[in-house]
Amino acid sequence: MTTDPNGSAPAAASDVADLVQAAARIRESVETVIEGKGDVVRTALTVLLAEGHLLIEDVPGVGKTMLAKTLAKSLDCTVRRIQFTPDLLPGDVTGVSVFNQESRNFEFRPGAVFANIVLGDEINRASPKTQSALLEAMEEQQVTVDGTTYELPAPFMVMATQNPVEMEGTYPLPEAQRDRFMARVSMGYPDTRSEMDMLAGHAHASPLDNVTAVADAALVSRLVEVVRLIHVAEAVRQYAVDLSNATRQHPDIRLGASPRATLHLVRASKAAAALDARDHVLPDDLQTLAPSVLAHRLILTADAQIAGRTTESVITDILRRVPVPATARV
Amino acid sequence: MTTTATPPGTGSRAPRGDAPVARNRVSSGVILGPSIASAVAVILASIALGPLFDSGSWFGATFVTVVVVIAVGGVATWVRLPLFLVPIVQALALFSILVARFGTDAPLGFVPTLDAMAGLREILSTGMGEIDRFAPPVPYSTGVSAVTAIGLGCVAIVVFVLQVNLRMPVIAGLALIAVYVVPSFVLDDGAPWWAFAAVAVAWMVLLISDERVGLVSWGRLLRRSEGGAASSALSGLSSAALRLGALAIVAAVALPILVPSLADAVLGRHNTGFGSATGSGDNPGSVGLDPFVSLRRDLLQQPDVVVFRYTTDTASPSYLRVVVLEQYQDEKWSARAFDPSTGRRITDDLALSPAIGAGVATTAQTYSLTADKLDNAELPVPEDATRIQGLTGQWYEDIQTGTVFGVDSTTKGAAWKADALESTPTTDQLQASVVGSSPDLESLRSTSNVPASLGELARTVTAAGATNFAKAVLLQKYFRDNFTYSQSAGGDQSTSALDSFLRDKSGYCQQFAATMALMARSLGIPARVVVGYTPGTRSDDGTWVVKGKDAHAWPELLFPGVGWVRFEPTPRGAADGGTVSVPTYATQVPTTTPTNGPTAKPTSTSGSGKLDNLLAEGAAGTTPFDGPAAETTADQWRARGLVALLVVAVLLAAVPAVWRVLRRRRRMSATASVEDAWEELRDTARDLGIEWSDARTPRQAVARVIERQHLTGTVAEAATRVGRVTERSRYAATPPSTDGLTDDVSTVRTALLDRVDRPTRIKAALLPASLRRSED
Repeated sequence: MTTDPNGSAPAAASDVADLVQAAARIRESVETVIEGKGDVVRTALTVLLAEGHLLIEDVPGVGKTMLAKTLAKSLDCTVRRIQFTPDLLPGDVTGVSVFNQESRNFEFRPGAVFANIVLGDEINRASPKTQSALLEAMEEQQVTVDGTTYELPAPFMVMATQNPVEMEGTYPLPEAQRDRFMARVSMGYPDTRSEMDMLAGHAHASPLDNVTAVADAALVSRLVEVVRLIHVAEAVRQYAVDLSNATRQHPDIRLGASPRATLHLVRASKAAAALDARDHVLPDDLQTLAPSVLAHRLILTADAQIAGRTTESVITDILRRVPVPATARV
Repeated sequence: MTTTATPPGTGSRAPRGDAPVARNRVSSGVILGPSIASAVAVILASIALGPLFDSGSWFGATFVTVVVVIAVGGVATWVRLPLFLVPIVQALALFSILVARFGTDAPLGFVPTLDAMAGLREILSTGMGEIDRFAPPVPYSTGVSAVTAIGLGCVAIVVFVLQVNLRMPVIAGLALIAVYVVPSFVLDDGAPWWAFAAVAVAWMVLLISDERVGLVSWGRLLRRSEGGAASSALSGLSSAALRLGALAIVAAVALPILVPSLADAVLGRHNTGFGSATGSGDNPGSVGLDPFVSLRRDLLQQPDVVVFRYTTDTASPSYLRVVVLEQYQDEKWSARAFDPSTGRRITDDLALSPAIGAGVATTAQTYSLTADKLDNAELPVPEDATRIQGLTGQWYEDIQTGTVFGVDSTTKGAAWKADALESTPTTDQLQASVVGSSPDLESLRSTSNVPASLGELARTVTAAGATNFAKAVLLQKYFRDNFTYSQSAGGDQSTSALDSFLRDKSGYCQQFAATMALMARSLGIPARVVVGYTPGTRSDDGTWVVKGKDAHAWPELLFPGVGWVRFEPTPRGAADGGTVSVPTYATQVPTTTPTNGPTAKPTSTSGSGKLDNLLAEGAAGTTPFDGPAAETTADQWRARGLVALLVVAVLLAAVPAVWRVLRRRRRMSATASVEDAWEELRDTARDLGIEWSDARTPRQAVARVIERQHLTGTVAEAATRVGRVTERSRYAATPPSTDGLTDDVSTVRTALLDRVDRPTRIKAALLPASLRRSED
């Protein structure tokens, strides 16, 4: 999915400007509901424009679902929500073929995944088999049922929420599946001001009712095209590889970042650059996104876990030590 | 996307299973490596001292001392002793090892108590004495070994602290150069080339070691494999160390060219005095030794040793002058310090200018002398020598006194020829001489230190004399008539000795000469004492043999228009077996009044004021001071040597600064790239001690500098622009405009320089920290 810097023309300045405007409208719209979480909203938007999927991880009740729903509603596109439970079947996600008595044919009944934005609530409550069904759809952007492949609509984005694994009745996502999410964000508790505002707002009606669509699927697709054309210099790619390598060699890390992680990091950075009205990616973009893009894929060594390290702190450490290349070395 | 920020470094201190191993590895890199490098460097440098000694036996003690001192320093550093304690502990170790090796009866064999230290000091002073006494190569002795051990032990402490504790290998190298300086100054031909090579290699060892430490303390290289780390170590080696090494070799080649005879020039020492007796020249005016000491030793201890022989074409050879003493102070006659810079280098062609008056009859004589047991820094020469030939080594004539002295040369085994003029002034000429007044003469007849009673005596004795010459002859007569010769008189010249000499009316030549010269001065006659030899005895084959007992001292009085005239107050003649003779002109007290007497125009009133003019008034042929003017004297060489050394030192010290300036100039030139400008900004910050991490993006780096250095306004804008241009140049699809980039860098640079104090600026200019990092 990397853009060949020599192959295609760089993103036009006007396109980038349009993107910035559209993104600003979406952000404003979302932030009427999700207050005081500007950076989370921005990351969500980044992932959307970078054609990735977002994992929202936090304790219950901090607005994970609300974020997903608001974002979906701000975009005038199809939204489906799947509430994952232990007894949810893969077919509920992907859809099933049903025998039509009249036509005497099997007819495909699309599952919940057939939408522009799929909200997977509490994904870690589903059985691994069901989780896999969703994750395959996420990766392939298509669903195969009974030998027939069905394309998913574009844009397609899964926003999955997850409770921390310590919570009861959960099946933690295997690392291979966490790797499919472009970024993980934590909502965090709102600050006092935002929480008080929320109480005042929710007293009358759901704030979601006031959200109107400010963009549509076609616009999002166009924006995605603009992001694809953002320039990534060799030095930046080198830096991305250096960062991933550093996670692989870090003494506190048992499992480092995969090549897919590197890819996701660069793609997300392109979207972030576009959101900043830039037609090229800076190492700064990588640094800003590295914790959200890389942290959920890394596994600490047992020692590091006992020592109380977190993957985020390891990434901070790496960012502080890996030199920013001025040019590519290879 | 709330990330949990962990304080930097928390992780590395986490108790992990392999943590102790890792810590040991760091220790071995930061302490062990540089310590070993320091020891190797000092021991390598000590090789440069090799040519100073006649055997390598001193090396063992030095080796052990250096190793122990550095090992102790390493342990002290490893247990994290405060920095200031490290050299103290090392010094204690140094003394302990020296006491253990050289001391006697120290508690437990090595505890440096005061007593043990006193014993050590004795050994050291013995060693120093030996080093002083012998020309290199110095024979091995315990003392010499102790001196080299303590010297190199001290160098080891300095090198260790600079190298390991302060991480300043370049300055540590200067301590090594101090070692090299010793042979290069002391040896006649300078230090051999391999001494320089040893020190240069030692310095390289320090530099390479420091490069390696730099890599180790950078920590684990995350983005490189092990092979990459190794190649990076090599690239570090190839950058700074090799460049400096090349520089050192260039200096090694340049130094000898600039300073053709460094050893002779810079530290020419008169290491032996008159004779080779021991003794310290504590009187700064005398030449290393009190000439009287050796005179007395010649007389008393080796009267029958043949000092030198000569042949001559005259039947009555002149006395042979060795040292002329013109100063009387502290109750003692002494020679002026002989200084090659005011002397003339003796060559076969050099015409000396004996001070003989115009009308005085002279006869040419030639002498051919060969040293026998004579080992002396001053050369015996006949009176009024006009030319000296056949000498080897460096010999100079002290123009004022005519004393011929060697610089790092002695008469040992020497043979030389001398042409001289025998002057036979008439009594009339001597009677006619009148002393005028000139500053030079005043110093020669200064009576300030002469006891008043002596002046009284002189006036009483010479009451009958009408002229200076008559008075001089009366003085001589007084001694010869009333005094007896005795070698048992005390050798010192104190006032009490003078008193007892006058009371007992007994003494030996030194006392006669000294006392008569003083009395002459008290009468206003310029006088001096000459130490040398009488002509000796003629052997059957015509050779004159001069023995120890012929050592002699006599007074010379100045008679303007005639010259220095010898008198002989010592009443010792053929009867004693001595060879003392009274000059013919002084055998009788002149009774006639001078023919032209006081009316004769004294030459000294001409106002020239120059002693030599007075002495050699109208002297035929030669004019003083007109020796080959173009000849380079030792002093000029010495000055050149010092200047050259200074220039080289300044050049070496300026290398980092110049290097940095050149680098800046290149980076700020019109053709420079954006990266050049960026590196210049980075290096400026590093030079000024502003923290700068390569892990920051241009944007972050600039923002940090702006924040930390409180840059505002146009400067902050300029800095931001530099960061943005760099960023775009590196990462954007289209290159940015670089107009004004170097100006912006200059603006920021100026502002940064303004914000630090002067010492930091100077340090940034002279020792730019940015040069320490190897570029990759």
